[in-house]
Amino acid sequence: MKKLLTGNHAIAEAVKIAKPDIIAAYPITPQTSIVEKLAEMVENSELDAEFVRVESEYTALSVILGAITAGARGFTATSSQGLLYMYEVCWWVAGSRLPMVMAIATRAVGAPWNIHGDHQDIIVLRDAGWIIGMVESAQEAFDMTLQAFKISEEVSLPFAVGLDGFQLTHTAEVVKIRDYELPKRKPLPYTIEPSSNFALNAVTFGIPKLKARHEQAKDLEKSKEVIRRVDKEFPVSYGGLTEEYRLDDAEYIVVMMGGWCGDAKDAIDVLRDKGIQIGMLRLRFLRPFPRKEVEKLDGKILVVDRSNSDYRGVLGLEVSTVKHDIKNVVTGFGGMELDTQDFVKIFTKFVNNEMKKDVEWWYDSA
Amino acid sequence: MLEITIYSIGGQGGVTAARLLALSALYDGKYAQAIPQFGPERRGALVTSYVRISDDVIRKHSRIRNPDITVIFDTKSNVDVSSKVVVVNSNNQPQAEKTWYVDAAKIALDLNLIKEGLPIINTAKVGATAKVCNLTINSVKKAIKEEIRDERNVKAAEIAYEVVRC
Repeated sequence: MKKLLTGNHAIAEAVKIAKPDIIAAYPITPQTSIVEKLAEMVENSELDAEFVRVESEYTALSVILGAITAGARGFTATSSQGLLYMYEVCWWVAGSRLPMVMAIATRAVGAPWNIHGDHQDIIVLRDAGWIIGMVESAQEAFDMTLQAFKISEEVSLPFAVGLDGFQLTHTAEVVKIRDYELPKRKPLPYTIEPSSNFALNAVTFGIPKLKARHEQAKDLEKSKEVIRRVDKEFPVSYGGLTEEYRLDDAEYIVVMMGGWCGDAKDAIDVLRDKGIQIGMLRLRFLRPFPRKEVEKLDGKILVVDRSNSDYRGVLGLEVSTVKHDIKNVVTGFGGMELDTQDFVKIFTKFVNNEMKKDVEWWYDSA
Repeated sequence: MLEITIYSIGGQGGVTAARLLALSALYDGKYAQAIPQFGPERRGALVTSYVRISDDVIRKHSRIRNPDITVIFDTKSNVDVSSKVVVVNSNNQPQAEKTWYVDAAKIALDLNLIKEGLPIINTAKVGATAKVCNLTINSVKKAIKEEIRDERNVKAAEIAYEVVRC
């Protein structure tokens, strides 16, 4: 069945199918309509879940942490300042090796104040041990959310589904609603009951801490195979950790992630029509980082970023750990929107070898 | 692909109109996108919404810069029109190569579609625009029935679909 859904409502529809036991969230633009829709579904008895209203994002994720520790399936959603406010608990969830899914409607981080879209918020999760996906469309938001529960529970790591604030969260598009049977969450090796004495996450010193972090890192690596397998088994395959677009014979390769990739693909078609051999590697995942897919690239690389760390873009930094001679464009902050014509300009400058610096902060948008 | 830009005043229902047009296109078996103006509510201020309609999957998500059709709700809106086709209420508004007229306010008032003292014109505008876009009236009616409970809105769209003239 096809429906006209915003990215946010597509996520709510997927969550409904995944049947979480508990949802706790605090509203923040542009995430709010995800949990508003879920609250409505719970109210109408379309979804049998506990919906816990809280006073902050810190508490939202803490409530979920308690419930998933006891074996429940949990979901929350947030953006920007909200993600920062719950940041400590993000580490507790990942370090406790508990599965859950969180949607992040990606948005600029203050200051200066801005409620619009970029990727600066979601990248703070990079070191916490979460699986981090970024989607290109409302359809992919729906599909990845469904897969996220399965992948997360299989590897016991939390999963963040990122979708661009406003551009994806608020744009309504045609989404195919799929039937999807999720297995029940696997039983925990322990039972928590009100009467039981139980300690989790005991104090560690030295080696046990190193080991815990090592195990977590190994499992994040292993999740790559799970991500690829779940993607292949799904009714539609997106290509695993990355999506290749016109890459086969590409001499010039653009690396990007998120909602603006559609416009960039149209720009690639424009350049292809002029005989320029250009293609895209779209990163569907930031963590685990698709090293193998990037390693394999054979051509001149341009990374286009919507977030930065020091002078470089974050994806630029990530890709440069694998490929050294790359160009990096940093742009699209705080709701600044680039369309096909803008990408044609950027890509043309890159192809013509007119980018003299390794990193260029791009201001030009029509 | 058909690209439509809708100019309205916050509260007139321009964002809902974009959604209704996209939904009608979906019911006609097409792909569609409805993009609202991003950010806070804008009651009383100029609001721009966008609609894309296509036979194929639409992958771009940017706002529309060069629309095929411009739809103008408010008679006092002073917007630049770059498209060849425009849908307006009266000849006091911007004109284009092909100008389609529908007296949306009169249709609403005749049906007593009034909210807070003002006629609700968005569903009549949807009916007129749907005709210009070659969407079927049955899909428009289905979309409005689903999204808005008041049957008079369906009627308003139906009348506008019939009477819109170039």
